[in-house]
Amino acid sequence: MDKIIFVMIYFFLAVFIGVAMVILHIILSEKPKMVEKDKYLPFESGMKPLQPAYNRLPVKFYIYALAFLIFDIEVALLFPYVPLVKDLGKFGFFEILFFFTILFLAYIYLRETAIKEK
Amino acid sequence: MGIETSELVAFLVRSAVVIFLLLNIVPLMVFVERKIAAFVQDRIGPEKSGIYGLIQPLADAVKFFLKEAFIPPEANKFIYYISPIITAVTPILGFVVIPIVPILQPISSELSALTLIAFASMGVWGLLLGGWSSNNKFSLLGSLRSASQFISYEVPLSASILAMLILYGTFDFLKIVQAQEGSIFKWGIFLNPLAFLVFFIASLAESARIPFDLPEAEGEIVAGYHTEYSGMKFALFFMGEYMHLTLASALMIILFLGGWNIPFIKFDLPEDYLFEDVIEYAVGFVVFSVKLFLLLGFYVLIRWTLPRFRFDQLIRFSWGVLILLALISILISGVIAVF
Amino acid sequence: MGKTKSELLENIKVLCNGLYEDARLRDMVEFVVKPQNLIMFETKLKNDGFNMILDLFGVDFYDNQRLKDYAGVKERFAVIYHFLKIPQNERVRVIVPVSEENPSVPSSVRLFRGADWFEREVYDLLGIKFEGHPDLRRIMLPEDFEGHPLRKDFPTKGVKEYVGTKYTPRLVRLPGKEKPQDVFEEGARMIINVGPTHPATHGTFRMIFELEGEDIVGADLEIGYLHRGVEKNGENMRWEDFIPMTDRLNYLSAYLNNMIYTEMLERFLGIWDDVPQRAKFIRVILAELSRIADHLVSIGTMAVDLGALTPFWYFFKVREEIYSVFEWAVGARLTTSGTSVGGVRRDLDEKTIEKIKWIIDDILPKALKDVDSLLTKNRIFIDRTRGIGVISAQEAIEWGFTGPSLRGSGVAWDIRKVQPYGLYELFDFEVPVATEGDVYSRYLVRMEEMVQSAKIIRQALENMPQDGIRIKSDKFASLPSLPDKKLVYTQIEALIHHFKGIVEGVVPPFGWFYFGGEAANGELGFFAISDGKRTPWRIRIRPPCFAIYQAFRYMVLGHKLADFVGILGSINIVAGELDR
Repeated sequence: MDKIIFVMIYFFLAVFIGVAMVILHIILSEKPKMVEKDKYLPFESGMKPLQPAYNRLPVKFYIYALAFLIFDIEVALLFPYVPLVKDLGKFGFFEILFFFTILFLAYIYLRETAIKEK
Repeated sequence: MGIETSELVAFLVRSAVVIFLLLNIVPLMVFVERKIAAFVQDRIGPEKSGIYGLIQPLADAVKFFLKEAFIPPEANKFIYYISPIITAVTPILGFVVIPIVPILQPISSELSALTLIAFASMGVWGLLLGGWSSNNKFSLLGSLRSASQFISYEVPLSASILAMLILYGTFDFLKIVQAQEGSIFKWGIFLNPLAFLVFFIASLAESARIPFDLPEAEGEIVAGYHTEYSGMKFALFFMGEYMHLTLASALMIILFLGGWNIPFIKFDLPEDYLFEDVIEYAVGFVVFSVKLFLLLGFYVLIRWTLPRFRFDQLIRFSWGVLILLALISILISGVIAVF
Repeated sequence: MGKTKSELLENIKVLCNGLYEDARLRDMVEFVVKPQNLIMFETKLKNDGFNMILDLFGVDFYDNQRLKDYAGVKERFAVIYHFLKIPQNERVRVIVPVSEENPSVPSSVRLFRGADWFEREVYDLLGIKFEGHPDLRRIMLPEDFEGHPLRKDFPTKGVKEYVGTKYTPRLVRLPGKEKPQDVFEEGARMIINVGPTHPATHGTFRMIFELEGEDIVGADLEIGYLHRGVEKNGENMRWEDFIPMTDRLNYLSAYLNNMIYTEMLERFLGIWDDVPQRAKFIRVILAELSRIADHLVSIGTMAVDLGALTPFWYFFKVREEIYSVFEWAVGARLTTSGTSVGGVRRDLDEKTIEKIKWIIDDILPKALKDVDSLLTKNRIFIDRTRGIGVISAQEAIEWGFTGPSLRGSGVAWDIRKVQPYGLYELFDFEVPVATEGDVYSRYLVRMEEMVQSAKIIRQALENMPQDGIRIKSDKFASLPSLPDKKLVYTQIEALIHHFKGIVEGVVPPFGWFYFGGEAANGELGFFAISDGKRTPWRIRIRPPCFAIYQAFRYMVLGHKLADFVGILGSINIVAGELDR
């Protein structure tokens, strides 16, 4: 519990530095005297944008987001094994191996379908 | 809650020192990067300001503070402001559990590795939100790229960390470093070189450095997610990149390169700081710094040697090769740990 | 290789019997063809193997009856086509008269795709319509510009200033993606401006890409940001005053342009054989140096855009040294203007020769070796460039590619070999060819061409004769190959020659003349019409970039956004030459 408070203190310390830099910048920065309208256009290689940037977008890598979820959860599931490696011994290792075999089949499937197409 | 004042003060001092060092490593790295780039490219590099161009980063910092605080009018202002802060703050947060030497670890925790992974993975938010909020197509493309890139490389990164954790059987970085004491062959890089390889490549990608700097590829999408950022807000992104790199290097030293240990020398640092150990702590700190700068220098050399990947190649590399290697490295660790 | 000109003339006379008004042999085989017969005539030519429209441009004869008689037309305008047969190197010029009342010609785009932008340019600058052209818009000037500047009655002064860049994009799309989607309609595709101020556009031109995710499914190119009316300017300055204008075409290799223009003028004047050998040697040396400089920039910037900054610096170091050579040899670094009619401006001294030797024997091979080891076998670089922007040999010829871009597609076509000019017939060099037609092939061709250029320079430096750098003035009193200053100050005759030479300049004989040479990007040609006055009636520049760049929008389709930088870098577009 103490450590959580320490982490929180550290967190606010770090965020404070970030925020302070931005605020300091706003205070110290040069204020423009003359403003031209085109300056406030979004940068698009010097031309007026042909189309607004907030727009519908095809998310081509959606499949990777799903795959990411699977594999990240896999990693998360393995974390509890870490402190028990020595205790569980060979039994634990073969359990993990079994888990990995299933995962590996999923990986092969992913590799042969989704990744190949892209 | 019984927090003793002395404990709190010690913690605050340690945190302040770590953050101070971290913030100072950025200008130093800018300088080192410029000089190494100049050396690689057969140039001189900055030399006009100060002796050997030493105060050039300082001049840059001043310039960043004094530049106009420009905000695109159509931007989502709140998100636009917080995203560089997120990027810059997350690597600082990651350092909360990094034992440079035992005394310079702000919080010594049994779960340091988990804390670190939790904090460091948040960095992608800054890039994603920053690009999206600026109302610019190049920024948007950059942030989409960064999102897919970071989630793709997050898996091999955490998997290779996991491999080392399984190998040492603990989450505590301090214990991991202590496990590598004594002989160089106890270092993680010799126990599981595959995990080191995966970690190295994935950390390169997570720091968005060449050859993985697609979110900010200047030839293609101008400046990527920070196209509309200027002044200190841009500098925060910039700092975030370097600190992220530093965090990755520090983690690599702890997991694979023996922390503060010197090869072939039995070098025992007590966890509790005593005044008579000051020399040993200093030596440990220097050893860690040397390792850190060698790694950072290697990153810089890579940057000035290679071209950039294309987006689909990058994704395919992660899912096709790296994740497989990471899974194998976990198994290797399991074999080493159990048998 | 091919037939002689008279054989060619007879051959085509038989082939296209009844389709032409007049046939004759001048510097090229010439036919006068009426607009209604043009397509038939072109079809016959194409079936005979003529595979490239090298150049297509318009001429305004206005009220100059003598020129009209010379051209064999009665109408005010004429559109002139240069057809080329690769690899036989047979060239045919076709003159199509166009009346003022109904300025229209059938479009050749269906037969020769490469005519696309050339026809747009004629439409833009002369107001001649091309019936059946799929995309007839202005190309150099903004949409709402009034008038056609290359017409003789378009005033050079006193027109109201035009401000703005009105341009409506019209995109070409990937097959299967032609969904009629208005540019401004909101949709799943993102339309993005690349250029004029984009890091990958080295020069000012604009690309509009339609993206689906990161895939380019539609593209449009807008050029003309750097249009300075060089051809119109040329009509208002003396012949030799045009040399500095040629610097501003491909400004990366200005000396090559100088050399080709000057040689055109000298051949037109008929004094080419009298130009001293030493001057020709110096021209070859400096021209090949500037070719090296051009390729250095081309590869260097391409590498930068692909993310590798270091090769750029290695190359730019050499380029700096080459520019120092130019500074010593002609007095300027970038815009050299190093040639003069009948010779070169300055001789090469020992110091400069030593420096050139140092460059080609020492630092250039070293830089090439370094960059070779950084890029050529680099897996990432190969992945980024292999199979990207592929253009087959046949397509390349169709589009009018010349130079390294054509050689990258596997066609060993180099004017220096097939039709030697300058002194290139004396030197032993290879024409590097790569077969794939992708970015990597063009990169390899450019790398090897630098080695060959260095080889030419080495040979030239060894065999340089000592016969002066200017044409002898007693032969051509009216040329700016001026008498010695000492004579000018002491002898009245020399003074008169000097005065006449300065005031009148050179005047080529009445008529026209085309000469093309191998510039860094391909065939740079100058077509000049002289009406016997001190200023040219028309100077036409055949820019290699222009023909190559029009194919770019098709080359990028279907690739990722990240690939366009590599393709753009590999064809080395220089805006000065593109827009003129």
